[in-house]
Parts: sequence; structure tokens; C-alpha cells
Amino acid sequence: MAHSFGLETLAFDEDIESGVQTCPASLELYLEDSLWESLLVDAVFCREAHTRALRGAPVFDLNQNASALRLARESRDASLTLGRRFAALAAALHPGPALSRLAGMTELHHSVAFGYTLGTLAIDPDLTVSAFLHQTVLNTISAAQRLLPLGQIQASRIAWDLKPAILDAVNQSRSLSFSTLCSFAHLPDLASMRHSCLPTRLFIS
Amino acid sequence: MPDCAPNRLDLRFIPDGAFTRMFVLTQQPPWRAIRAFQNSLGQALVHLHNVSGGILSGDSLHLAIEAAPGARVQVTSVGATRVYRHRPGRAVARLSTSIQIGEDAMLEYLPEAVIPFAGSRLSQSTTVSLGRNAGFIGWESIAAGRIAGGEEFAFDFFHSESSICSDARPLALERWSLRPSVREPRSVARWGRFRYTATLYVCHSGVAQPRWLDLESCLNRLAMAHTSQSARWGASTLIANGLVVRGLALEAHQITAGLRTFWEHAKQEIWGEAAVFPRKIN
Repeated sequence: MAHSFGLETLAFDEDIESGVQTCPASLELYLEDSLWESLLVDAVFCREAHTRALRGAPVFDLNQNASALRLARESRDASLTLGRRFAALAAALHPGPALSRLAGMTELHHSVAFGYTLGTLAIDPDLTVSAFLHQTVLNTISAAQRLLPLGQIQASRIAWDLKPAILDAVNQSRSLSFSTLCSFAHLPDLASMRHSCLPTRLFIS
Repeated sequence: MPDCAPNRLDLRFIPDGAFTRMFVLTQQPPWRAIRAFQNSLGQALVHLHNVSGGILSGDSLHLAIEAAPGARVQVTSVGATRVYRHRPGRAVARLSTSIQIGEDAMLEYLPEAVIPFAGSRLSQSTTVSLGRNAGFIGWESIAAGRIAGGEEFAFDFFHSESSICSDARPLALERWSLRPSVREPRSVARWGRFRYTATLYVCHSGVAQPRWLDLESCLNRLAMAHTSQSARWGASTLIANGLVVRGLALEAHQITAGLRTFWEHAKQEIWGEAAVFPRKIN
């Protein structure tokens, strides 16, 4: 089973519109606004982890902050699960002390694992953050295809149309600090909190 | 205008036998804390007054509350916190709250709603620090504006930061900024179609995660019962030592009733005692 990070609840409650005609625009707007809120938070953590990897600095406090910022348990657990899996895979593919230490962490968020790994591999920071956001947006669109009447062409168009917003978020993440950045996402948080109570569920979160 | 030193209200609560006594260390206008009452649980109940009737542009207000080890405290406000229209040339209104809860102490912080008026600008921060085996229940509710007058998301700027930390780690962090003229607050990625938002934190540094998970299940069943087309509720354990309940609603009374219900259940479950609603007018 995959993660929807609350999208399944938003679809169930019809906050994301479920009409064949209205669903693509509704989803695109949600993702575009998320790139200014919750996804921007992930982008900043990803960039900071990348910077720490280049300096050989620990990411313990980053993970603690990310855990405290993610109030909804399912969403937090999903991020931690993906982070640990990503780090384990990276350590297996590219053995070395830095990635082995990373893979040994019990509290490791996806954005931090991704940023730190690509930093360790000396991949460009903008490219790292872009790749992380692009992958996250694609995963959400993929989840939406299973939850909403969204065809492949419409899904691809949303992904294409969101590229400028992704680049905006990448640019924003350069000037923001993980200790001061802001995000207001009360409705998605609430959707994630309520997810475990839905009558039927396709996704873990 | 440059920021000036904040006007302070510093309160200290110290246990005294079966009761808790309040000491007012600093009290500068417009703050006013007249006296503490003892409620039926032996908590010291104090009502916070703002004699100017609300927060004005240029205001810089600081509230510091310290519950000494073993103290039992309940803090509330006498009415909604109204944030008035920003006056040109004045600084953004600031409100900071610092709450320290000592070992074995318990503090409830239950203020009325914050109502940002049209054209208002507010920056607020709240920090809660929990000692060993200390408890905290706190809520915040925010209106989109003066709803009865048809005013919705007409404020200029609302920035908020809050943190709850135990000795060991941050338990909950929230930082957000809303500028309705720049980014649409009604977006599904933000506030949605609702007019009120509320957050309730229930924390105890001496309670282990399995009990919070049980309470989360219990409160989420309650949340589903209280959820409708016009109100949504959900609960979630924090990374450690606590739980958060969040609500969004179209009507203020739904928020008030919901917060009270979740507070009552959580307090009974974690502390094994009833929640005593703060006396206001009777």
C-alpha cells in the first residue's frame, strides 16, 4: 500500500472536487498551493540536509524539528517510513560511512534522507530539491489517479503545468531557514488526522 | 516605527497546601490579572484582562506564566482577543506568551478566540516548556474575522509561532503566516471553506506513547461523531508525550462545544479527573 498524505480524506470529503470536468483543476490548485505551504517545508528540510551532508554535520535536530512540525501521526509516520527505506536503499547502492550512519537512524524523515543522500553524492542542491519536489508531486498525482476520475493525459498535464511552481519553491527554499519557515495547512493536517477513520481506505496515510 | 520594550504581565504560581497561590511579579498596562480563584479541583484560576479591549497596532505585549513544581493552574481570558485595524506608521502588533511548567505541575491555558479585524496585523508567539512529569492543556481558536458583520479574511497579516517542548525534545511546532491579499486562505491546501480553526494540545511529559495512541483512537471516534458538513475534527498523537486535536468549522459555537468535549475526555483519560470549565460571569 502507498501513501496519500491526507489526499484520500480530501477526496472523500470532496474538498478536492470529484467531477470529471472539475477534478483536474481542483487537484492542480491544491498542489500549487501546497508548494507554498507543506511541500515548501519539505523542500527547505531537504536543502538543509544537503548542506549538512556537504559539511559532514549531523541531522539529528532536523529530524526532531520535522517530527514536531508534522502534527498528524499518519503523515509523520509515512515520512519516517519513506525516509528510513530511502536511506537503507541508498546505503546498499552506495556503501560508505556517511550513508551507513544515515541508514542507522531511527528518526529519519524522507526529505532529510533524500537531501543528505544527494548531498553525500555531491549532486547539485537545486537539482536535489527539484527532484525531491518533482517526485513528491508525481506521487500525489499518482495517488489522485486512484482516488479521482483523473486520466493519464490530465495527470501528465498537471505534472507539466506545475513545473514553474516547483521551480518557484526551489528558489524559495534557498532563502528560507528550517527554523523560521512558515506553513499553514490546517485542512490537509486535519485530513491526515481523520484518515484512519475513513470507512474504506486505499492508502496507508 | 522601531519596536519598543513589551508591556509585561509576569505571573508565578506556587503550591500552598491543597491550593495554588498566584504571585503577580510584573503587571504593566494594558495587562491586568486581578486575583486567582480556587476552583473545585484546587486549581488557581486566573482571568487575564486587557483593559484596552484588544490589541492595537504598535502594541507589544508579553505574558509570562510560571507554574512552580506541583502547582495546579488554569488561565483564561475574559473575552475574545480582538486585533484592531493597523494604523499607518505604527508597528505590527506583537503578542508573545511564555509558559513554563515545573515538575509535577499542571497548567491549563484556555483563552477565548482571536479575532483579527479588517486591516489588522498581528505577530504572535507562544512557547510552552514542560518539566518532568508535567502536564499542559492548551487551546487556541481563531476566527477568519468579524464573521457576524460579514467580514472574512479581511486582515492584512497574521503570523503565528508556537512550540511545546519537554526537557528532551520539541513535541509540537507550528509556524504560519497568512496574508489573504497575497495567498488565498480558503485554498484546500490551507484553511478550506471554513471560518474558524481551533487547535487543542494535551501534553504530559510522564505519560508514555501507548496511552496517547489509545486516547487518539478514542478522540477520533468522538471526532467522527462531531464531524458534519459544517465542522470537522481530528486527533493525532504527537511525536511524544502528547496529542493534538484540530477543528475547522463554519460556526463559532461548533468550535466552543467541540473544544470543551475533547478537553473533558482527554482530561478524564490522562489525569483521571473532570475538566472544570473556567468560571466567567456566575
